[in-house]
Amino acid sequence: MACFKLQHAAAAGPIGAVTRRGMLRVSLGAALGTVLGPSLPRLFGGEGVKAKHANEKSVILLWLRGGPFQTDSFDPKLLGNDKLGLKFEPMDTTADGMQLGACMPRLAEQGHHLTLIRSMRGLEMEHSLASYYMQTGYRATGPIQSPAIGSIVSHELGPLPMRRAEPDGIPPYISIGGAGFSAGHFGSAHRPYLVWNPLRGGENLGLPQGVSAAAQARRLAWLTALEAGHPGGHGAAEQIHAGRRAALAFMQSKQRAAFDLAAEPADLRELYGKSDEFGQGCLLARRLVTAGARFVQVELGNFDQHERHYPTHEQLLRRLDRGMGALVRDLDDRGLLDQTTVVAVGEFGRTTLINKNLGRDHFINGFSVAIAGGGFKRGFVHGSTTKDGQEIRDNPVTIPDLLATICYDLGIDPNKEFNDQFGRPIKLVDHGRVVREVLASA
Amino acid sequence: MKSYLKYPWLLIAIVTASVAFLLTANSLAAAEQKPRSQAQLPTEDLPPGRTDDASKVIDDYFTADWAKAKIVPAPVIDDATFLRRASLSVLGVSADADEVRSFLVDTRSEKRRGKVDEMLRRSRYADYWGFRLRDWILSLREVEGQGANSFMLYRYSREAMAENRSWTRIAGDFINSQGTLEFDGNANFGVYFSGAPNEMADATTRLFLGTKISCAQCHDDPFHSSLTQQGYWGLAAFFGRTKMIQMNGGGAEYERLFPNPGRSEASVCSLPGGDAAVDGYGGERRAIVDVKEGEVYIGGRKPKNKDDQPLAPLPLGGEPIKDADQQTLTRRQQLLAWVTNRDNPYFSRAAVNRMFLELTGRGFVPTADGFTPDDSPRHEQLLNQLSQQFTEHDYDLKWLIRTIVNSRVFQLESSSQLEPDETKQAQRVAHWCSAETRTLNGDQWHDSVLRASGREARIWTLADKASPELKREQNRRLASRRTRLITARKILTETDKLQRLAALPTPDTVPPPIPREYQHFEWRQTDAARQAYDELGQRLQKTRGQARSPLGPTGEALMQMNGALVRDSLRETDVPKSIAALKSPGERLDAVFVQVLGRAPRPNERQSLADSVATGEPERVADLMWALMQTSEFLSY
Repeated sequence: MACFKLQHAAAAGPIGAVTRRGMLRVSLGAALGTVLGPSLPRLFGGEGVKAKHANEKSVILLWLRGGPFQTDSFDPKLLGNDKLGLKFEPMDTTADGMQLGACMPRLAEQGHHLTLIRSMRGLEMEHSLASYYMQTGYRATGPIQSPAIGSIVSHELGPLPMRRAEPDGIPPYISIGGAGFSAGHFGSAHRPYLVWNPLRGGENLGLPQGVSAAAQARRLAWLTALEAGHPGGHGAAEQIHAGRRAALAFMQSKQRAAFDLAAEPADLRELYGKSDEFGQGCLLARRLVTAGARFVQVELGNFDQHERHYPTHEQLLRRLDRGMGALVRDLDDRGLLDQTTVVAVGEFGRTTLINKNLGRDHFINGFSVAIAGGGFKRGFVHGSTTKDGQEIRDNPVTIPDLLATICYDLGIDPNKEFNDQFGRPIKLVDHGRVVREVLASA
Repeated sequence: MKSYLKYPWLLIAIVTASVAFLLTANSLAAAEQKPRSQAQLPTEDLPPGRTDDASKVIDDYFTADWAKAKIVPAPVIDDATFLRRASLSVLGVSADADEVRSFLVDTRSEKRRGKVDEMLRRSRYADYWGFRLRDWILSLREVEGQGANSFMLYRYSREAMAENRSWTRIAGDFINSQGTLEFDGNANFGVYFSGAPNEMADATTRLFLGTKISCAQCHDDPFHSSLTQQGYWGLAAFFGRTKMIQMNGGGAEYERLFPNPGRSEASVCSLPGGDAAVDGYGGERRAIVDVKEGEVYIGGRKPKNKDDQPLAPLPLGGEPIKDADQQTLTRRQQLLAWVTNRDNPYFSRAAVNRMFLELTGRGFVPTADGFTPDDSPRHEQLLNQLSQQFTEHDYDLKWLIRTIVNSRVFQLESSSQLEPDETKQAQRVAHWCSAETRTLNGDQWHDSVLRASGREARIWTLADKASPELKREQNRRLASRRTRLITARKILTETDKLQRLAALPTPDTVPPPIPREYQHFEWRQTDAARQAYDELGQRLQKTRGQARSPLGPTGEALMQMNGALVRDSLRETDVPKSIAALKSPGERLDAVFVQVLGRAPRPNERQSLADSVATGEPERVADLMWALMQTSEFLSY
């Protein structure tokens, strides 16, 4: 994987980055200054976006499907109330005053990199509606299809600059371990590329078993001859040709090597959990953003344990701890944490009170999200819940607020308006307020 | 159009006049089967090649329209292209090689019409349109699938298509559905929307009246002055006394109405994808029933402010029906009577528009639910004529499909080149003077790949290995269903109004058992099959309009080139071997083209591919088949 490593070095190295960034600033500034006049922030609207770093940033979303329990993980409470049925005591982290549940020792070592928001407020109680809301910032009512945050980022920022020289390398939006979400009115081109199992590599990226390179060359030559006879011109043919061009370029690109987890040192793979699909998904996500992907989602589930909460839930939280702990550490070691935002969140949280089946139910009024890297503060806790964990005590943050903040940090104006498929203007994020308190430089 | 629907006054008359008529779904169906005049005999009874020729209405309209606009339409497609397009449109799969050969040598002048009639008689027609109908329902919700039992919904839809139930009967089965999610496929219509009155009303207007009202849920629609919030919730009030009940949290009532349910087909027959087949329904027992009490206010079933008054059911653009609950018919039945009234032109227009979109990719309005009160549809005169005839033909879907497929506008060539002049191009599109080319949907692609490689092109039969135990379970289930229906009927008769029975099938009309090939699917047993399911994404389970899969274009192209379905289709079949055994390279080339694209190679193709299968190795035949399966010609229609 020599080529991959080289590329990685160039991407992460200070000289490469500065030069490219500088060039970009000059050319963008010149173009906009001469042609349009107004400053970039004014162009974007009210929010005054910092466009300077925007083009280097990417996001890894750890999607905790089913709704994880906040009180054992990111918002721990003292034991002492039997009704709550809590199992894990709060544990100190490397950040002053920040505690995590005792089942998250590895993330506790990364506490100084984390921003925790413990006062998330949702509106939807049912999985699919809540997932849609968390992913898009819109409630699923009416005929409008809204794009998920991954599609928004893919649409607004496109691929990372480092791969512009090779335009059809890795797709900008990739979903690992799950089907991903709607691209809404941005259309199918902004749907994620799916990786069902990180251990199996990119889906359909290699030649089918038993097809030699020679046979493939022959097949493609014949296909070229066949398509030459049909110039196309109509929309469907254009769409098919464009998809195939991108697919072939992807198959032949150097970045494809990013899917080869075997290229990683054994001890690093072990750190992520060598046989754990989620852990390896986190490792793959790191390799993919390094190779140029803009938004990678890794799914972990199912957190939806209404009965016998602990065996499954504890296991899932420990997998989250290992995968995310390794990811944050690894990104930091490589100096990539400033340009990579890691977000861990599900569609909602779970009730602090344990139910009669020893399970926990859906909870939307005071659940947590953990964020590491990007422009977010380090070792910071925003908002809190009451002592029994059943209500938000201060600084409530809505789901649109969270998405607006992520967008803002990436240099995307969350208030930017689009015409949806019915020609009506709608905002990227529905009335979200940027939570400046959690951003380092806002 | 100023007033949305001009017929509210009719409602009272209809309701009075049609009490007996509508009392049961069966009588509704029976009434529809009566021929109304000589002109409306089922066209299948006419000699092959002859129809009552509504297609001519379409042809005459466009001949005049093109002449007036001084446009020369594209030429009519050749036989091979026709067979492929008709087969994909009517049956959802390309024709097999034998069918292509015999169709091409057929010299009868009316062979195209005869072929369409024949296609409409195949069981494959019901397989495919069952999927379409199911998908129309599933795609009504923004967040798809949750709470639906898509297997049972498909089961119902396929049955309805197999019997060629009229569109009014299907509307009745859905709008007035009662029953459980796991036994009554049509009850999904209510359960899918969790029994929310406004969502059921919204679904009714989108599916059956071709218009969206949901913008008015929270505010008067600023784009369409006639659509108010009051109107939205007033329509919802038709479903005010329809409710979803479930075992969890409402068990007593559920068990009283639906005792001893046994195991449902959905749990006996696992669809590809196992649990995913029932789309988050998770085996929960839910049912949709009519209840005696219940009101709708602006905003929901409960008043938002204490002064809020319950709303009387309000047809779109009409007057509130103050005495709705004094009628013999339930509120829902009154809605049904209004929606399917023969004088309600919107019902027919929506169906005609939907079928044009399905079959030609073009509609009188851009989407199946795209009618708005303020904009006129394109080619409105033709739309009105066809809607009128569709009504006169008792809302016969096969008649509608036949009419469209036999028309010239269906059989035009697609323009291979865009008109460089944008105005001219827009004009050509507006006048439908060439065909719209579309990419295959997931079902069409999947089955056409199987068929091109000589495998059985029926997703259901990939594994037909129902165990004896499974069959016993089937029989138990059917017996249990009979008991359950008899019991439910008895309880309802004793305790409730007779009208409640309207949507419950009588024990005698319990549908026949599922054909053997539907009984069990083992997709997940083999790696390749499981992957094929994954590849299609949940496409086979959940589809949204024209969306083909959750994959983007890159992922889709990778799947088409490198995926397990194409790989196995080329490997696990004797077709490459038998083609390779043909004597001359020319014959081999011909055979490959007919097999995959349903046509003979063109002279330039013969030339450029002359060497491809010259040596007669099966691998090279398979390679050429692969190349043909990747062409935009194969992937679109």
